[in-house]
Amino acid sequence: MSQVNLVHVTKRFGKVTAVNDLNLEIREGECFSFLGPSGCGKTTTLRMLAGFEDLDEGEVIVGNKIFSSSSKKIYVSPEKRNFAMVFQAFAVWPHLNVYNNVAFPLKHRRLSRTEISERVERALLYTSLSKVKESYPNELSGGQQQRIALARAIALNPTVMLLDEPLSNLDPKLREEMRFEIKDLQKRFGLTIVFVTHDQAEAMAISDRMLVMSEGVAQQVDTPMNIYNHPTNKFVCGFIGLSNFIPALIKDGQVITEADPEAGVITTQIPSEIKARRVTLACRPSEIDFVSEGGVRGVIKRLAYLGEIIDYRVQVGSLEIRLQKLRRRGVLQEGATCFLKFNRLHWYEEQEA
Amino acid sequence: MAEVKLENISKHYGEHRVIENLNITVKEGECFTFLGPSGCGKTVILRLIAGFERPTNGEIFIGSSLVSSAEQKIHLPPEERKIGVVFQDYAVWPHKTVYENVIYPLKIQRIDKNEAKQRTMQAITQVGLKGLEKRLPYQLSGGQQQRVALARALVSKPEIMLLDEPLNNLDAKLREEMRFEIKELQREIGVTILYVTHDQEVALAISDRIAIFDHTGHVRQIGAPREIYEKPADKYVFNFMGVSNFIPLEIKNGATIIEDSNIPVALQPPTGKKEALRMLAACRPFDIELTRENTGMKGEVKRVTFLGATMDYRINLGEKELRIQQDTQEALQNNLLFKEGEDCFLKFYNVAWFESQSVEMGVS
Amino acid sequence: MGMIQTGKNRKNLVFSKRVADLKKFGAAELVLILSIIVLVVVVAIPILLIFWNAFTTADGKFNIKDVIWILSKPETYQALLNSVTIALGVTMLSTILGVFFAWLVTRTDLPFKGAMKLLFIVPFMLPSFIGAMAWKILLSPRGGYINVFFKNLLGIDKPLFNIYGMAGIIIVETMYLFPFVFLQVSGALERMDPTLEESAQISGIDLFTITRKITFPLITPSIIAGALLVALYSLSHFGVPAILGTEVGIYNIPTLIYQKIYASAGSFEAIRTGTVLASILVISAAIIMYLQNLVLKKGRYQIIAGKSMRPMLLKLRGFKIPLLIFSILYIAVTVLLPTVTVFLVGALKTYGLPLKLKHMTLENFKYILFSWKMTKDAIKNSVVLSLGAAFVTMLVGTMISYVIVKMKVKGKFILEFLGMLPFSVPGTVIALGVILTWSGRFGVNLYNTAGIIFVAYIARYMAFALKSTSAALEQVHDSLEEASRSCGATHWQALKHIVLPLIKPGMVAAFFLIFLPALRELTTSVLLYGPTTRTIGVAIYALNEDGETVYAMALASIALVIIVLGEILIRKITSTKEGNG
Repeated sequence: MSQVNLVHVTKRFGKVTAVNDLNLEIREGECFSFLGPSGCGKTTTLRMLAGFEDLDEGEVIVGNKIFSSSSKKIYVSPEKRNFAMVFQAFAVWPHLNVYNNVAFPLKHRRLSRTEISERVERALLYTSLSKVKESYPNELSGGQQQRIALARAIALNPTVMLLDEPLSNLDPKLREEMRFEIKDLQKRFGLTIVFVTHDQAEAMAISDRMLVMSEGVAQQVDTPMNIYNHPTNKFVCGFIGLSNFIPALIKDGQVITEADPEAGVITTQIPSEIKARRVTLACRPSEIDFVSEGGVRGVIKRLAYLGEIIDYRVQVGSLEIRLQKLRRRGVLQEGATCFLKFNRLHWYEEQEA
Repeated sequence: MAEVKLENISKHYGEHRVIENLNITVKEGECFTFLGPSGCGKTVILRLIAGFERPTNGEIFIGSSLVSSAEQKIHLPPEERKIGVVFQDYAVWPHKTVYENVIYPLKIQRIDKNEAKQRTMQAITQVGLKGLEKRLPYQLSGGQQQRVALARALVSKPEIMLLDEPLNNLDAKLREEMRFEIKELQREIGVTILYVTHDQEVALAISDRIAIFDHTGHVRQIGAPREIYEKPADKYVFNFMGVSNFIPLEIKNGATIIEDSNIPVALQPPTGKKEALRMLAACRPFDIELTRENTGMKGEVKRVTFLGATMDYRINLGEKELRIQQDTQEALQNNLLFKEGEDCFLKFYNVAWFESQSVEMGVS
Repeated sequence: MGMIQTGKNRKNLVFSKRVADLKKFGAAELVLILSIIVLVVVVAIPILLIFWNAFTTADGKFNIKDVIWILSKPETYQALLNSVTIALGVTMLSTILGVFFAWLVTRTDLPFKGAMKLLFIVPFMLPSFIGAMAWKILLSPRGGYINVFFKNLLGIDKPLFNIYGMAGIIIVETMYLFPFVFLQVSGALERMDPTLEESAQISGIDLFTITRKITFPLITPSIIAGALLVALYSLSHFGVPAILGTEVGIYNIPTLIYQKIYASAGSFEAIRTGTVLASILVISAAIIMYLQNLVLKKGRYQIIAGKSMRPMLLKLRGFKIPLLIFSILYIAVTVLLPTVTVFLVGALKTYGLPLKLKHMTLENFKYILFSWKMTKDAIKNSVVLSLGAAFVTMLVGTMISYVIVKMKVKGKFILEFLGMLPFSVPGTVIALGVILTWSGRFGVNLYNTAGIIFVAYIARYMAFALKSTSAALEQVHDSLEEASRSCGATHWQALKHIVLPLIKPGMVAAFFLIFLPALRELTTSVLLYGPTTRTIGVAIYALNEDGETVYAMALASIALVIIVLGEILIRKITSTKEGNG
């Protein structure tokens, strides 16, 4: 019972393939993010969904209606798709006051006057803008302007709400607040949301599921927790959260690091599907512990006291491994020898040298 | 290397008193940070030390030289102060190459050509820009321009260096990198650094000592990072240095409860503090533990957010919303992950106590 | 080079610092006072004298009766009315054309848009009075080439169109002024944030409604700003009304002032009429500039896009070819036709001959460039005066801009005010004011010399220099200078090493911004020239008045070539500079 379906969607700009054979299913009522570095194709995908770009290959299907199809030469223009979109630079019309910004699109939809004012007032209420409905955008803060865009989107009762990096222009504290507000609005109105961002922390915090993209190709689609705990490849592992990459060798059932083979054994528990002898292990800084014996030996090269968290750089041979531990658990000294225990490892096979 | 001394420094712009009676001594070779919100006057202090502004009152010493005195009408212009400055917007000259930018101070000082060339290349290598000497600034990234500014400030071997929010315009990863590099450089060369920022994380990471300012330009506390973070002088400092939970408490009939409610709190204000009927308990998100054992303090989980390495909770203790964080790994291992709507129990650690916000009790 | 000082050294240091302080204190105030003096003498006094002359009698008493009497005389009253009518007509036509073409070129899928954007701006470069002369040649009622052609073709006696008169003036002025509106509006449309329209589109609104209710309201400030500029220029314009109106008795304010001054050879009464009219011109110009400022401040919505995204283009479909043809025709008729006419007529052996190759020769051009003293002198005068005025104005303008933008001295608001004054003051007014100031009143008599034209040019173009150089200075952040100071450079060294190299492009732009307009202008020098101090514009105009049409056109052709070469040069220089940041 999916709401949005992208089937073999491809988009090229000249010689560059911006989106490459993307297949995606977004469920009704879901908050779904497109996440990736700039240039990965996430905004292009959103614009194809919105109808601002057409496809070179593939189809966009919403409900069971085909909105775009390159083979069947179908293209429904943006204004007929019943979507709502919120942009990074707010796109709030400066010559209309708050009320009219929200009401304007409704006036072109053959709705009765009472229904328009009902919808607008409700939208303003849930975005905390009722008090400033007579004001003009330039009199309001960035956060309030973004809320105008949200109110406008809600009032439309859209099939899907599209958000293109909507929080990037806001300061960090406000960003957090607005994240919660969008989530609350989603729950209250049962909206299907497609959210584009380059900020992985933001994507993880807000999404029910997300798509990680790189260079036009889908890397992984899953819930934030699953992606964080089981990244399918090195790119996803490195892009989401912090990670250490450790080049390692499997020798007689023991895994040691190439950077300092004498330092100790990383682990003896090798997943059954790993056949290669050379692997790259990935490990999160928060998932490594200091132990008093056993483990891999290293020297604390430097530490940064960041308040709640202490950030350690531990030198293991030629490799620098990063750990983050809570201050409350104690602070070690720079220059001290230490032993590392790796609590969770992600395995990526490498070719023989 | 020199120490910097500010004695009774005030700066007024007409009616607007930005700095009032400031007394600070920065020790030789130390990395000292002026930390505070935007508009608190910290950049003005830097400009006073650099010589771009004159103090309304007070005197400034660099080493044993008096460089500015309002009372004696002395003002050594910036070009004679031997200070390296890195500006917030880098101020790298767009019409000069990297090499020309860095060698400029030596040219002005008429250093011997060969020596100048050698020192310039050394500075460029030190900041990791070797090979890019002939590039113009528009061909460089933000981080690279930042390093040009650093090299230029270092090349004349200044006694002190002033850095005005130099990492502001860089993205998070680069900011971290540059933080370390600045610290490394300082250790290598031993120059005295005065650093201005509003970012408390940077301040904690690089400073030997920090001076925290409030928005009126007054110093709230001076101390080492750990001291400021773990033994804050007042509520303002506590709040500024990181995410905080403040719980107003009152003592009624011998029991501690949350202000204006009946919810008991199993917290003991430290003995020795002035006995007060109202107090403020302050706590960091990681210092409140969630547990399934009854601690006497029950919380209702309002919101759970997965942030990767951390779990972020908004939990209501009675009417009060608390912000609590856990290490995801630890929580998973110990079955301490909670869902929205669930009830849990709270355990507090490292509580800081302040006079209540509602009653001014003077300095404790 | 340590800073450790012994007691004695320290005292010396303190002393020399105190002296240095004093010196620096003096230098800044000195430059400020110098700048104020320059602006007062060059700009403020001429304008003040105009008002003084208009509103006081010979013995210095305030007198408004005479003013009212002058204004109610039919010829003055009529000239005022004409000025307003022409300005209104030109503004309306220019606005319609400017907006239409701007929208066509930025928001539709019309082919060859790039070329058209350039061609529409060409009228900017060409002096409109030369265009008026060309149109006179084409459409004068009896002998105009087009009229003659149609008379022969259709066998009728009346001309197709009589270019003399209000209609002709309005049409020709529109051709040369509409680029103001075009540039403003196409700029606004190109830079507008496309998400403002996309968000409307995805909310379900069709493109036509979006254009009406979103796009247009947002560019209205730019439209008004362009329109006001057109009105200002039309009110202040001498050339076109002089050529197409005077002959049939239609005067506007600048041409009436000219007629009064020359008819009476500078009588007191004539000057009085002139200054009264000039005062009105200044006041109207000031009102227009004020309105423009208001519109720009209030209405300039923050609509500029950050990311560069392509705006939505309307598909013209069936209208594409007709509109393309229309645009090409428009350019051909308004730009190519008059320009080609100028060159062809300039090559004619005798005026009136049909435009066939066998009647043409290059002799005229050679004669004007190399043999005829009058034209050679005129060319020389114009080049020298414009180069000199551009150079001096650029330097002085830079100095004054530096005080306004960079120096922290009290009293610089005086400079800001004085600097903005001449921006809107018409050339005729400046000329008149300069006559009053520099004809012996304060001991210096420059009348009938090249000097008086020189001073007038500086006054006229000072505002351009100030605008361009202050824009360049504002781009040079204070921190760039301060960085240099903290590297050990003195204030002067910082200026030399850092500021100057970075504002050079702005200074060069200012230079050309003055040199080219000064080279081709007519309005100002026509009131100030003497027998030996003609400018190119004056020479062309005088030749035309004397009936020497062919020579007038030949000189005009040469002027056009010089101007176009100059424009190409400035574009090359400013675009290469941009690459170096």
